[in-house]
Amino acid sequence: MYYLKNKTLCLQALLPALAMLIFYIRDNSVATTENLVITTAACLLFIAVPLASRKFIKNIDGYILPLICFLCSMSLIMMLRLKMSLFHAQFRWIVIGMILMFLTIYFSEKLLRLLDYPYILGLCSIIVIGSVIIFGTEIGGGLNWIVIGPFQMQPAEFSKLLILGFLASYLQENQNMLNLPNRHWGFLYLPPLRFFAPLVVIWGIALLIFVYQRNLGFALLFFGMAMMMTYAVTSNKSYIFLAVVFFIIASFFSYMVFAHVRVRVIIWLNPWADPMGQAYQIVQSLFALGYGGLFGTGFFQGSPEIIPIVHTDFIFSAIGEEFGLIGVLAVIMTYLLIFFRSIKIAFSCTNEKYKLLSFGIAGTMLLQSFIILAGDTKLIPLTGITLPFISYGGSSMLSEFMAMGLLLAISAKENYRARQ
Amino acid sequence: MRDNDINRNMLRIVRVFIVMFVVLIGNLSYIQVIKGDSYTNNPLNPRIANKENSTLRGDILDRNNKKIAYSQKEENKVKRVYPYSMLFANSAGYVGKNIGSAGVEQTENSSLSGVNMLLHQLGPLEQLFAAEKGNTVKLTLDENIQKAAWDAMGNKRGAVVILNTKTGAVLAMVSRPAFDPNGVEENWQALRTDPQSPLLNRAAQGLYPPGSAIKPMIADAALEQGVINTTEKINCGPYYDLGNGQKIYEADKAVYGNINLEEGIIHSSNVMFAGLAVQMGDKGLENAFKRFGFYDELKTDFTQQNAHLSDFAKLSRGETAQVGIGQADLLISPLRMAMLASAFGNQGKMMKPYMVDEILSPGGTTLQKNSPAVFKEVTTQDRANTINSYMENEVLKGTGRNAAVKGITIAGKTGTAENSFGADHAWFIGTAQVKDEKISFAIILENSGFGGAEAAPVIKYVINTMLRED
Repeated sequence: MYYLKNKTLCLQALLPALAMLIFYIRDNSVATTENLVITTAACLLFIAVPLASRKFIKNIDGYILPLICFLCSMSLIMMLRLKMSLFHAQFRWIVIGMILMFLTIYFSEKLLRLLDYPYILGLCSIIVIGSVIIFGTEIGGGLNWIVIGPFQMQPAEFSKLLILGFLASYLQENQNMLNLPNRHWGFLYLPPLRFFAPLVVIWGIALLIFVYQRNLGFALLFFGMAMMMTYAVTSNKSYIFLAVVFFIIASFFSYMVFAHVRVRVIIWLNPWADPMGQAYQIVQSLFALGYGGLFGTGFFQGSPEIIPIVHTDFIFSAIGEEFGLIGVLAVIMTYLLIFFRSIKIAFSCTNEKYKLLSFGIAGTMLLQSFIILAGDTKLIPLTGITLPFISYGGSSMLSEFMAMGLLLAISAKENYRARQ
Repeated sequence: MRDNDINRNMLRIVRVFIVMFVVLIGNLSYIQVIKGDSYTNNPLNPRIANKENSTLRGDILDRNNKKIAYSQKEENKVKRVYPYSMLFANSAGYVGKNIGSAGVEQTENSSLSGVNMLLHQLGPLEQLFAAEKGNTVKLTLDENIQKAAWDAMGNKRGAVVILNTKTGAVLAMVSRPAFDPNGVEENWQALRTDPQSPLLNRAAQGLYPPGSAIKPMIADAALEQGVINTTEKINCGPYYDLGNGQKIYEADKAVYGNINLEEGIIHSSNVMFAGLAVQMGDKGLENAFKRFGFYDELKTDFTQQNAHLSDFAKLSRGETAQVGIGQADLLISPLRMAMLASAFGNQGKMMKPYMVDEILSPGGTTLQKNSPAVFKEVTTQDRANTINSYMENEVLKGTGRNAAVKGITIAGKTGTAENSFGADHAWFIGTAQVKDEKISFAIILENSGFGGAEAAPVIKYVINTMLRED
């Protein structure tokens, strides 16, 4: 049984090879040395990384990495199908991401020690997010990028980890204060303002910067992260109430002040008013999903390239068109499985900072997938954000792998402690 | 135990996540399964069009396998080519990206495009069955006959329909003026607004007063209802008095004296047929049109227009007489007139006309073959033969002389139809045995005068061309 399980977890590694074979049958010219080397390397990588991690890192969770490798191979074959140059680049990012993940695991002791300095983490995250305002370049209608030589990076992706670290350590250190409300503000029970002011300030600044940068996806994500973490520590519904009130006011304010927010909402409310103009993307996304149906059209048999920027925000619709409902359910289930494995790690932690951090990492990944998936399917207004491990993009891939590195390091640590 | 508090809180958040994802998956299933078809068929969704474009459209062939329409790739762009230009414009039709399609291109689109949305339901398995090229549609039209009819019409407006009498297969369907389907997309605005309406398929959709060409049917009805027999003679000419000062004249105010029904057909006597119509009355005429299938819906593989018939219950005596000579407000398409002629040449059996002979796979396997069907038995064998012999004599020694071809049996009936748009329309309908094929035909030339002088020579030219073949 154990043997079979191990083999099953390696099956995802066959995906790139199969995809290349299908491509080759359609077009012989794809069989260049470079493409074949990358495909072979990808297959080997997706077998070797889960096996090696289990062999060399004691007590590491055995399911998370194979599941991540499945998402990465989905990403690779979709890039292969959409654009050959993206296939090469994405493979490079996956390799760098995995190296970074192992480095994170290796240096996890030192990195986790940073959790003792919540204000440094908070300040760093503000600086990282704010750096875009000073050094940033506008790409694709959002001021989210810093260009250094040939590289473009999206600092917001990396600030996710810093903010998570800040939230975990600040909330854990101040939970007694936050949990003992001694002020009645109407029906709300809140501690004195000074106890939760730093939280509100750092979080509020981050949110404002994102809205200013037109990075609505991250604004939504950061809002959700903070709510999630605060509730986990305090379970005080007053915070939730305040946050929701704040969210409504902020949304209304953004709607009135920022034209780009207004446009998003109008498109979401009635995409059929301007299906060939502003709502083109979301309408084509729905068409792609509907055309795919239950079974999908088959790999290479759909027309996902009709959707603009399909390789980042709408990669999910491309999967839905070619692999159908069955395919996208597999992807969604994978995210849920990773989430549940991560939550299991969080539950087993005795160190509350680690507990909160691993819970934050897992919840953030799932929340981020939800925001973009719900946007692609018109459940909520569309906000541009990447689908973890699948969308094309270096910053996103690297930061996700680093987060997973921390999570795996915590799992190894806690399992080790538990077995002592 | 604060530790447990955090775990409890985390568990609550996990529940929220589960609810969120249940909603997400529910919505996704709704989009992909329930709304799938409606999104797929939405006109703004370019996917079906893309698919049709990536599949090479099938060929349209005439009955001798000459290509009437085919698609070819030119510098990554697929072009639809109509080698005969205007000749088949209104029968085979056209297909354009932004203007839709018409003719066989429209009615047989699902065969030609090779896109089958039923297969799409199979998901990736569709690829096992999908064709790289659409199916071939083989028509019953014959390029030689079509060309002959086109040439014979000259530059006149009008239509020619030629059917196989025994099967109903359409051998030629010409409508003029026509247009070049190769350039229809570029010239769309001009074609659409052209007062000559070149886009209208006059042969199957143009409605005209039948004039004297309706007389064989009136004669059949008169015999059936016993208002005349084959030997009875009627004094004809120069006019039929309707009372109150209204008169129906013979053509050229001729005087034929005492003539029988056969001579009435041969000379196309208006006086005789006005009288017969009045004798049969409104009910009798209505029954005749019913018996000849003019009230029946004709469902076939090309687009056609049903006849516009008089409201027989409300006709005045004068209008009843006018129905007898094919006027009043009767409007009938050339196709229906050719079918009428075919009934007399086919022992009273009117065959259902059809234009698609076979659907073939790109490899040449027959996927579907049309078989002839009787549309309606409209009269008895005896009466059909009697009327047909009258029509043969009309061509031998009557108004249809101009159609006569030596050694060929031709039965015909001329018509000269008054209309509100100018000079009379010239009609000629009938049947002819040409070698081993019996054809039925209807010719109309708009506003060009006498049927015998203008329309009859068209079929003579066509028959002569058919005889010269092989």
